[in-house]
Amino acid sequence: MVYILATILLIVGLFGVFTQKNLIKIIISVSIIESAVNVFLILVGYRSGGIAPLMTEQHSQAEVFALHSVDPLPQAMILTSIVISLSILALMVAISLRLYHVYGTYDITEIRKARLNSKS
Amino acid sequence: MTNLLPLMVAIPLAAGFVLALIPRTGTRTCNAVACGASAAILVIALLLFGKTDAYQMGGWEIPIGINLSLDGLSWLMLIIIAVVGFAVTLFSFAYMDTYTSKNRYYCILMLMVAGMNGTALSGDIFNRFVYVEIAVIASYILVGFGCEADELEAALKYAVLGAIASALTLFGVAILYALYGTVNIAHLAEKISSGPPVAAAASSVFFAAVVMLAGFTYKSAAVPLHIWQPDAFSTAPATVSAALSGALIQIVGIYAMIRTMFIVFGITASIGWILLCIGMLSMAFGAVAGAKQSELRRMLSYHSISQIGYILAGLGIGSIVIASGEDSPVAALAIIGALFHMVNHAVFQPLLFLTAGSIESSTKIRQIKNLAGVARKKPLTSAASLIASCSIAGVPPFGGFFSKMMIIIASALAGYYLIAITVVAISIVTLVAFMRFQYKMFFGQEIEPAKIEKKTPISMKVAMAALSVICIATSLLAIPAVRSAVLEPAKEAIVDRESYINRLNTDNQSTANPTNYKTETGK
Repeated sequence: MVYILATILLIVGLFGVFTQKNLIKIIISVSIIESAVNVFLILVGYRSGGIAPLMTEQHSQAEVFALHSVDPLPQAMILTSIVISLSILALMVAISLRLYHVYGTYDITEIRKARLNSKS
Repeated sequence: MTNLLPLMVAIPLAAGFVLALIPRTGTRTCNAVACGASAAILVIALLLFGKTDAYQMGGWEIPIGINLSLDGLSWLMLIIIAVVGFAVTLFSFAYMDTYTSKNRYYCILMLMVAGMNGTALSGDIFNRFVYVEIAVIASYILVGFGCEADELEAALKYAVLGAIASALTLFGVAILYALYGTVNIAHLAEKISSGPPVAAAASSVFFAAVVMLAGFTYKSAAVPLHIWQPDAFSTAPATVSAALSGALIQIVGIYAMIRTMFIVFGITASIGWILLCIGMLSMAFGAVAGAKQSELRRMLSYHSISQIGYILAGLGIGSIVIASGEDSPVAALAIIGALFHMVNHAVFQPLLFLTAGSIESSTKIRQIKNLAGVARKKPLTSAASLIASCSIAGVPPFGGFFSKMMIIIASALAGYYLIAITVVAISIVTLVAFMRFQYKMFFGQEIEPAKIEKKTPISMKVAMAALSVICIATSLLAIPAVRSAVLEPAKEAIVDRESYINRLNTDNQSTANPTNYKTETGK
């Protein structure tokens, strides 16, 4: 059931990418898609009532720990994937800033018009 | 002997960071470092020939730790990356002088090579996702490297859609982890081959396969997800187009697709048909759209789509035959044809882009119609271009002919005559397009004499000559003895899923750990 959240985020993000005209909004939509996948990944490892994956005094034995803790591996994975998303995000923002300097607008239809005008 | 596999990732990575530290003015040092790193990779890749090897990062045993594993297919990819990387580095010596901050260009190029090598070697789907991301993020930057408006637009389009494709791939990884609790390829293949954990999960596995296939299709620039490719390849620096078309789209696209579909999921007829359809569509679309382009590099990039289509179609036919459980020689022929075409594509496509770059940098010509008479002014460039064109068009003694022939014969033997005829027809369209291009270059009437602003620098000449020699040499792969040494192990790696799974255990034994870390991580 909880996966519905990830699905909704994914659909919202995809919708945003294909309908928005503003570059910044498109980039935000991409970011939402990446969050959707991260949320899905973190939900995969979740267990209701689970403890944080830290070995404490109470859960010092591996078997007891494995029974109570949430899965730490997806958490490690999304850390990596968040870093990757961040670098793509930074790159996309940098490129769109450069485009803004050239065309003076973030609107992709305006940019396309300007480009066609400059070619003809 | 110490294990060489981590060096394949470590050397370009280290070179990348060293290059970033070199000041902008030290272009000679940059050249030397980049060239040294690419040469080192090439040497190591050659040393690894015919080996199967594995390396556990940090000494963790396989289902828990991350591993690099080498087999015939990975080796083929490594050698493709090494050759293309070396040629591109050499060509960049002079070509990239027109751009500022050459150190950063080489830095990012080396990071891309590191990412691709890691992709080819990684034995873990999440780890491979990370390597793929390193390679493609580097490629987004390289496409927009010139910072002209067109390049930036192409790079942004590539990056936005590429980020979605990457997210889809990660989604597939997440689904597989949710179902099977592992991300190691061999371990995952073992679990998937013994059936889904619950009966209802079968459709989830298929969903994961399709989602990942979509991600890889985007990166291999096959129709219908090709839209980024012509813009990116026609505006980026020519060396970048060469590196991307020769290595990147083949490694992070097709290689990753093969590894996932054949080894992780185990090939099924439905996936085979998807591959075949994508392949035929790309083939037809690329050839037809390429035929009416007026800009040289745009035409080449459409033809790249078309050639990727041949590879996918070969793989598709192979997998349909395997899935139907019929005679394996036909499947073997189709898959070897596809691999052979991958090798050819990795040689002729960079060569074509490099020759286009050479023409561009000395005459500023980008349109095909202005090429007339260039052959007389630039003999070596046009000879290299002719060799590559013959190979891509499938003129008999060249490698491209044999690989296309293998795919056509395989599809005829498998009983898909219509597909065989279509492939032949598309090859003819390609041949005509390249004949037109070469005719313009050699015999075209000069409207206005092409201005040669500067001579072709020696480094460019060496790079193009080396690739031309390799381009002619690829036809040697048609000889059975050479083929069985180079392409057979790669084919075995694709077809023989069992042995990949079995290597899980033998790899653990071969690099036995002094201490067992396993006790504390219970899962």
